[in-house]
Amino acid sequence: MTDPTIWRDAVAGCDAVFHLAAETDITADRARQELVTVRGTQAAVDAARHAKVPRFVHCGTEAALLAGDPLVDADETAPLRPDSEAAYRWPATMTLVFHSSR
Amino acid sequence: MHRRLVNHKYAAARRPRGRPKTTASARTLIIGMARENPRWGHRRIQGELQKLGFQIAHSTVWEVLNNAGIDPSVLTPEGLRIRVPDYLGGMDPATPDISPIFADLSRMAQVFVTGGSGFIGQVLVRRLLDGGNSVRVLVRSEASAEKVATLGAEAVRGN
Repeated sequence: MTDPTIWRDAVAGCDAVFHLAAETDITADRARQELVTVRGTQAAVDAARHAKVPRFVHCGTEAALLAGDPLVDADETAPLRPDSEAAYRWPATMTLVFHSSR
Repeated sequence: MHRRLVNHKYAAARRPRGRPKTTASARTLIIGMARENPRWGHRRIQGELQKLGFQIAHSTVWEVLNNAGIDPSVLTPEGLRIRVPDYLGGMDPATPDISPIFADLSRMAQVFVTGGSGFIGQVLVRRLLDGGNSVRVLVRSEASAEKVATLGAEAVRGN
């Protein structure tokens, strides 16, 4: 995942990249979250840019919002409550994808 | 006398081993309960079974329903347990409409998916394939590769 040179060729010629991969184990430590979720997202963005894929769709997690409270009428502007490692890392990847789209 | 002694001493050897099999009648009951009571979750079904004298784990209820192709219940913001197809008026909450992404294409899309063997990913991949698109999925394990191939997508091995 974090080494896109292995799968970069498979991205070539694609019309879209859907990036859903992430560390979903909530007990994973911060280093693991950093590696899989943040660096993995960076790698996916890099691969898509390298192959000049025009569309990149990133799937985040509602776990980054309201931290376990019922998500009623919640959207991306809902307050972040990073009380878990997963939620802690999501804002980082969102920011990363946002800036890469510039 | 001797036989009774032996039977007594080696009683353990004659007992059935392991977890008792979930009987066909219990399976039928679980599926019937789930169909008739769409708002019942796995634990509610387990509780009702217990009243009828069936000692069955809620995970077994899940397994039986899953094998029967019955969707699990979801917890709505109002705290109701309802089945996924009922939720959002029949729309699968895991897959919003993705067609606008390919609106400007006159042909079917070639798509690359990471996390395509996961919970949401599998639904997405199926939806993309149903739409006639070609899908490549990045996988880490042989098990994921098989899962993806079964869906009809092309598995790409990562690290």
